Amino acid sequence: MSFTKFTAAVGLLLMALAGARPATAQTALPDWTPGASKEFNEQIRKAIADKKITKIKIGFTNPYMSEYYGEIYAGAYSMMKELQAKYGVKFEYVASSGSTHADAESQIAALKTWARQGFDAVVVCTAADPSAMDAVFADLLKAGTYPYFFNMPPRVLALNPDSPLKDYSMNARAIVGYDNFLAHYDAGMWVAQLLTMKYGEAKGKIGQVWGPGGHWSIERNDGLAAALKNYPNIKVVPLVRGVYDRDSGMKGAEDLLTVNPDLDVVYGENEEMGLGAAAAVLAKGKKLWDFKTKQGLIVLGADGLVSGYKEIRAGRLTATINVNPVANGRNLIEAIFWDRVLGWRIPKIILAPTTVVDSRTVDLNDAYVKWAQSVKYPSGGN
Amino acid sequence: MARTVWGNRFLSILGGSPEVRIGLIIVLAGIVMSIISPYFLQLGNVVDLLESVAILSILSFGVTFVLLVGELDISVGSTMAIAAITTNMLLGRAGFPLSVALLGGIATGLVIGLMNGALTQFLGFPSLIVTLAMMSILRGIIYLLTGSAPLAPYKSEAYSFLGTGQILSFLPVPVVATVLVLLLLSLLLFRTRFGRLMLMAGANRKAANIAGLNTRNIGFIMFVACGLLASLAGVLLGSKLKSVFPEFGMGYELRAITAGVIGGVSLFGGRGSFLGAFLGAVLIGLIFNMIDLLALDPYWQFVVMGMMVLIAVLTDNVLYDLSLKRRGTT
Repeated sequence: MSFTKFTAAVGLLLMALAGARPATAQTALPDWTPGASKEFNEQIRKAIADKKITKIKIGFTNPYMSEYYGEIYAGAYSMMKELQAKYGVKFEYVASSGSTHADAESQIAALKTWARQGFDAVVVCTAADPSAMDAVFADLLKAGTYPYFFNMPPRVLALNPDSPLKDYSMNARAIVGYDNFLAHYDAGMWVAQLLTMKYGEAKGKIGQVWGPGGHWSIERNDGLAAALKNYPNIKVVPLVRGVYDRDSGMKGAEDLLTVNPDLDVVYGENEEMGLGAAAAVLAKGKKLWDFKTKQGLIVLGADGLVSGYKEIRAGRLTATINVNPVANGRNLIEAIFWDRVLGWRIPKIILAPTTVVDSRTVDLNDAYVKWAQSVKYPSGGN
Repeated sequence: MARTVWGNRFLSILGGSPEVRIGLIIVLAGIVMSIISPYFLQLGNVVDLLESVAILSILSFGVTFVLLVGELDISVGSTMAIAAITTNMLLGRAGFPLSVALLGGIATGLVIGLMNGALTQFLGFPSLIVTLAMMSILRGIIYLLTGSAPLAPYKSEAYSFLGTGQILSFLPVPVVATVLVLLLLSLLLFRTRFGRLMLMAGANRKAANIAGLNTRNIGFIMFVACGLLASLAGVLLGSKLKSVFPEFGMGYELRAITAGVIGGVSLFGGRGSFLGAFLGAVLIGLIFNMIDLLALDPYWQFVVMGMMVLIAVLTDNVLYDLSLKRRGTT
């Protein structure tokens, strides 16, 4: 290739990159307007018109993109659509993530870029310590951009005496998430219930396949341990570590079952590891839990994803802890609306309800996520 | 005739100088971005862009040392983390003054560099295998030291200044540190005998040995320098992020190598510069900045970076050969 052609090719590449835009689908709003009374909606519309607000620009940044974050976004979009329908405010959004799970520097760079572009709000989930973001948030607030944490464990952030974010003195306007501790506390109680069905009393052995570590993991483990304090005959064997994927979940569960062939429960810290653990159980020739016979090995995942619900229906996973990503996303946008648009005081910690989902309750939970995913809201609205 | 002479001269410079090529790409991309986005050329955006790649640049300088002698070090991300943890623990749990904590952090990089250097240069193990093993060992130690949980944030304003402070009210300290390190290393490479020996040792180890050069010693020093710079990068990043968590520094090794390769540092040794590595890091930062400013899907960064590496390696070889041929004919 000649030098001239090479230069032209590089130039074209740069121009193409500069001209690229994310695809947006233009769809008409359905003929519905949910929500409160007509007068209330009109009053809110008037308040918004007085502030001359027609659009809210939001930047999302999380450690990586995944089915879980996709469900949070689906919830967020569903609330954006409702708020536009009720009050006429449109939402523009962009998403960014680092090159790796731990790449907080790229997240910080994105936040600063968005503040410079005059974004109204930024929402952050990070693997870094929240205090790193809190310092950046102070600058964002000065620039008029409101920062929010999402999917961050509230107990570690606000209630830990070592955390500089205790006493709600943090710069983030709110932490929107779920109570990790209580969600896994409930999982512990649910496990005790099933073991009681199996043995006539709450006894048995639990094996955990846990992620590499971090503030999420600490809270989950603490919640489980707190529940099991009520059941001294349920023992937890030393945990094994995975890396939040199916392969490591399967390997971890295989090792657990080799050392503890009489295990009653395998508990994966997330959906993928739970699914891997279930595969390991089947590969070892063991049966998974059956509510009819009340026998079999109980395998638990966490997150509450459509892929997990599919496996529960198929009998390839016993249960998952639904931390309600859709509700998290909806709460987030609603919080931004009340705070940024209307200027009301919102709570510093906003939590979504959580539940343990098994074959008895999977349809309800699955329907909620599928509804949110069916709601289309392009950036900029309609 | 004149056009041919000037054209050949330009091609000679371009072909023989990856720094010029990358610089041109950065300038071209900057021109395009300044037309598309009114925010791009704002001083704040340029400063933020440089700040976002300052620590990566320092790390890529370390990697460049070993690349120049034809070796590889992929343990630098883990070295960053160990250095940051050491500083954090000495400052926080042990209550030492900042100077001691910083020295402790840097010393860990020195020790790791010494080990990598000894294993590769004196015992002759392949650097990819040694540093891959070191990366894994160090990461395991990190998880053990932290108990798989983030360390409590440090409480030192002075330490915080290193990673987040500003000089003259707008220049971030890491950017100033990067420029100073770059100047020092560039002087070392191009103005000292040792710098020339580094390039000779990398270009053709056998020939260098025959010529009486002790390439093992040179290679050993390169790994030590790499360890030191990785620990400096780690200490600065630990200051910037206020704390250290188990995955700290993960992925930085690949980005540092990418920055070096894009900047024209040859994977086979003997060619490249610290300026090239710096420009490579700036280009990576520019890609991230463009993606954010243009609101593109964030995963374009992987596509573009991968393409840049391929283009850099292919064109480096082609244009270098071309420049050698043209120098021969003019």
